[in-house]
Amino acid sequence: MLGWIVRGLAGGRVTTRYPFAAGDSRVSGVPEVDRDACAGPGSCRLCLEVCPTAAVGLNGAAVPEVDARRCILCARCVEACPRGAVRPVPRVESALLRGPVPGLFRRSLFVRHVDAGSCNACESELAALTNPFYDVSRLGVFFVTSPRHADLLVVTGPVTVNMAGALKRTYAAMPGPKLVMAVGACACGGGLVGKGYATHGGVDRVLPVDLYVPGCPPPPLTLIDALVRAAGRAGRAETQKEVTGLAGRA
Amino acid sequence: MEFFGDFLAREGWPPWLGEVLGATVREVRAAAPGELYVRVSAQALAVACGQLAARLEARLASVVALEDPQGAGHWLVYTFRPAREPGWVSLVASLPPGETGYHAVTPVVPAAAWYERENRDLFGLVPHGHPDAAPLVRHEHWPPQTHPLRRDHPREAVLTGRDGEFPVFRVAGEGVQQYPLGPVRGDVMEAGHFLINTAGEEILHCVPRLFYKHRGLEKLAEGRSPGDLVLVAERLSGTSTFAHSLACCQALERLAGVEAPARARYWRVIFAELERMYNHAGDIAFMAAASGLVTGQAQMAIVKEKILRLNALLSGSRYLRNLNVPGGLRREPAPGAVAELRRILPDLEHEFGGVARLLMDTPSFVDRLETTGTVPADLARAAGAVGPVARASGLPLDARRDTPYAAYDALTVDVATETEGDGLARFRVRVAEFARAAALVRRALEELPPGDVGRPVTSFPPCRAALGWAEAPRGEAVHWVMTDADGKVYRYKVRAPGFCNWPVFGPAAANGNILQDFPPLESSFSLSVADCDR
Repeated sequence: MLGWIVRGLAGGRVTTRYPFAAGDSRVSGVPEVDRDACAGPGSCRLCLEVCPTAAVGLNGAAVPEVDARRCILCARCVEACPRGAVRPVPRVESALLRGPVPGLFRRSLFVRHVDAGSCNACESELAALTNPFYDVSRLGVFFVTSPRHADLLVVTGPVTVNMAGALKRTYAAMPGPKLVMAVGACACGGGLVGKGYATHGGVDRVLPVDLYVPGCPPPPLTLIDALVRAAGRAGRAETQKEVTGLAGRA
Repeated sequence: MEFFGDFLAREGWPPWLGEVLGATVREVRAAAPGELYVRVSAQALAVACGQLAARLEARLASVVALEDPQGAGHWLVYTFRPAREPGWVSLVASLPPGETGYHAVTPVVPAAAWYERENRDLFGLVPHGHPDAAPLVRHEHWPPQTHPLRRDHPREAVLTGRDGEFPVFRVAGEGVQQYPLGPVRGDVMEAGHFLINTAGEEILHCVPRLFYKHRGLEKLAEGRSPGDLVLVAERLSGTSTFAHSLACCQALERLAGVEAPARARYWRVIFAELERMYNHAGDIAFMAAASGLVTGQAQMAIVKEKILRLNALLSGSRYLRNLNVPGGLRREPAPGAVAELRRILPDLEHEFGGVARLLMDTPSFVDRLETTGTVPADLARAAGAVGPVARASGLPLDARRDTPYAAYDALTVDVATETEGDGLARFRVRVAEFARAAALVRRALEELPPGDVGRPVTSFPPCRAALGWAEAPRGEAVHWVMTDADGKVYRYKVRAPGFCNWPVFGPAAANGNILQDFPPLESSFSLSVADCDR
C-alpha cells in the first residue's frame, strides 16, 4: 500500500488544465483548403478525386470544402494538391453543434456510451478521458452504467444493423431532456465504412444527433471540449469569461 | 485455380507432401514464397486437413471461402501453419455451381468451428456434420436466405426488417439462472453479449455472442484499389491499427513481388512494438480496474497515454494511422521526434516495470487473477488460440519468431511464455513482453539501416492471391488478398487474433469461476471485438 502512495506522489500532477488553459492535442486535424492558394474547381479536382469518403466537396463554393464529419484524416487530399493549398489544421475545438443545447447539465453531465460498431480507437480515447491526464470527473462529467441515469448518449461507430436495436432501446430508456453525441468519423457521417449491408452509415440515420465530434479518432482534448459544450457551458474559445467561477475550483 | 499461383510439377513438391497427403492431391500451385496451395476434392478435404494437422502438427491459421471469378462455383481455402515445416500450406477444394454442401472439417480439426459457421452465414455454404447449428455472424433480424458476401448480394442492400428470436443455449436445472450481459454494458466497453448460466455463484456455461459490431469490411474492400485496402485494414481494430495495416501491406507486397526497403522494415518493427507496449499497458490498467485497484489502473493508464503521445509525435497519429503503404512507409519520423523516443524509452520501461512490480506485490490484485479463467494447453491448442492467451498456456506461438517478417529475422525475438494458463499468467506474459518490446525498439533504433523508407506500390498483378501476417498485440493476424482481372481487390479475408481467442473465452469462463470473476476474466483475456466482428 505504501508503495502505491509513494509512486503516486513521485509521479506528481499530470492533469491537463484544459479547458481552462489552451491545449494541444498533438495530432493532425481535418484539412482545410486555402482560398487564395487553390486554383479553383475549374482547373483541378485532385482533392475531390482522391478522397476515399467523399468528404471533399464543392457545394457550389468557389473552392472545395472539407466536410469535417466525413473526414477520416487520411491526408490524401493534402498530398494530392499540386499547389499545397490543402493543409491539415490542428484544431482542438472541432465539435459541431446542431443547435443550442439546454443549459440543464452545466454542473454535472452523466454520460452513457454505446459502441455501435466502432473500430475501438474511439473507445480507447473515451477511456483515456478518465485517466489522470484528462480526468473529466474534475469537470463534473461521469460515465454511468444505466441509461436511466444518463443525460448524454455518446455513440461511436457507423451504427451496425446488429447494434441498431440495442442503440435505440438505450436511447428510449434515457429520461428527457437528453442529448446525443456522435463521436468519430464513423458515427458522424459513416466514415470509411459508410452505408452497407451491415451498417446504416452514421448515428443521425437512426437517432437525432445534437453534437458531432469529428476525427478518426477524436483526441481526448477535442472530446473534453465537446463534453463541456454538451453540458451547456461555452466552448474553449469563450471559456475564460463564461466559467471563471468553475475555473477557480478545478 | 490459376489465381492461387503457378502450377507446380510433382518434382517441385516438398518431400512431405506426397507422403502426408498421398493420392488425394490433385494439383499444387505456388506463388508468393512460402505459400503452397494444394487442391484436393471436396470429399477428401476433411481427411486431408486432419492428416496435415496430425502429421505436420499444423495449426489452422485461416479459412477463406470465395466465389469463383468465372462463376464456376465456390472455393474453400483452409490455410495451415505446420510446426514441422516452414511456411504456409493451404488445402483448396472446389464446390461446383449449385453445390452448397460439403463435409465439415470441424469434427477432425476443432479450430475450424467458427470459420465454418461464418461461411454458412455469409456464403450459404453448409458444413454437413458440423456440431454447432447456431448462426454466428447472422443475427435474428437478417432476412432468411440472405448471404451478404455472395457476389449477387449488393453491398448497399441493408439487412434489416424482421424481428426474430435468437436460438439461445440454456442450462436447465433447479436454481440455474441465465445472466445476460451486454451488448450495452458498464463503462466504456466494446459491444458484446455474454450469456452466463450460473448456479448460485458458479458459472456453469458461458457463450459470448458477438458480431453486434459486424461492419461488412470484407465486402467493403471488394472492388477497391489495393492502396485503399490499407485504409480498411487500419480500421479493423483501432488499437491494433499498425499490426493490421502491416499484415495487409505485407500481403500486397508479396502479391506484387516487391519488398519494402530495409529502413522501412526496421521502422515497422519500432512502430509495431510501440503499439504492443501501449496495448499491454492499457490491458494491465483494465486488469487493475477489474480487481478494484484504481491506483494501479491510473498508473498504467499514465504509461499508455505517454506512449500514445509519443506515437502522435512520431507519426501525427496516436494510433499510428496513415503510416504503412504497400512498399514501405509514407514518411519517416522527424529527427526531433526520434530523439524524444530515445530519451523517453528508458523512462517508460522504468515506470512500467515499477508499476508491474507493485501490482505483483499487491495481494488483492494477484488473488483476483490467480486460477481465474484457466485455459488448459490442450484447449488452447485445439481451439487454435494465439497471442498472449496461447503463450500464457504454454504454447510458444509468436509470428515474429516463427514466420519472421519486417526486420524480425535480424532482431532476436525472445518469446515469453507461462504454463499456468490463468489470468495471472496472461498478466505475466504481458509484463515480460513490454520489456522485450522496448528492447526491440532500442535495438532497431541502434541498427537502423540508411536509405529511404520506400515508395508506394500502385500496380498489382491481376488474378493473384497472397497472404500477409503480423503478430498484433493480441496475437497473430492473417490477411489474405486476391485481385481481380483489373488488379483491384476481388476478395479480402482477415483472420484477426480475436476470432481465434473468443472461442476459448466461454470454456475458460466456465472453468471453476464465479460470476464476480467475470471482470478480471474479461480483462485478462482483453480481446478485441472489433477485429473479430469486422
